[in-house]
Amino acid sequence: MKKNVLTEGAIPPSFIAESISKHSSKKNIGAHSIFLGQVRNDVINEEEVQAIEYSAYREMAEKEFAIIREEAFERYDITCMHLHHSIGKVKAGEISLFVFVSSAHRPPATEACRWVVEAIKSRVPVYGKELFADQKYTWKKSEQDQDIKEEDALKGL
Amino acid sequence: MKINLLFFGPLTDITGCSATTVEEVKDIETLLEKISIQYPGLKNQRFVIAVNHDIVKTNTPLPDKSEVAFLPPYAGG
Repeated sequence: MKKNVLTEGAIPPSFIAESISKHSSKKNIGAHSIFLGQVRNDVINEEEVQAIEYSAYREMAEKEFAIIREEAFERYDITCMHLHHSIGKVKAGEISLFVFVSSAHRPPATEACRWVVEAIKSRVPVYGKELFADQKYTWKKSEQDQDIKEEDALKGL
Repeated sequence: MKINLLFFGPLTDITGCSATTVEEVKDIETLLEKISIQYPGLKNQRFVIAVNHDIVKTNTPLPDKSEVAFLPPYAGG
């Protein structure tokens, strides 16, 4: 049964540690590359972000996560990969993204991990509300606003 | 015939909803005309459109019960 990448709430550090220890039985692995995305307390208009509330177009997000997974295995000589992205509320200081790539040797693990993180940020329909102390919020800006090129967006509106 | 619409990110604030339906729209162009009247705030927004989970870049026919999602720039990760 395929597991979903989107997981409710913050990703606990203990889960990350367990994931690492589960791989000790896979003796052909020589390298793990792990990326953790943590919610940062950005200051926007003099107010500090307390949490991010993630939302997503779930079916399409899971579909794209699966495509990114497959592509990573095609591009890099890696042994396994685990992806977890939070949905719902994650407080500043908590982990909202966990990318874990393993391979026999270093370069494929580090390169694949980096590639996957960038692919997730540009290709998966996930959104975030940056929550402030007083019920106010702002929508998290896309890092790569320019990814939606003019010719990709439908003209006429 | 009925089409399901989904709005995400800042578009939920602009339209005031995350999901709604429209009737009698045969393709994307017709849909856009209709919703630009219904939600004029969408006019200055950037987004891509997905029909049944696939992004569309040209005018596309909309079969009955299609799901059309309006996706502003992604902000995950």
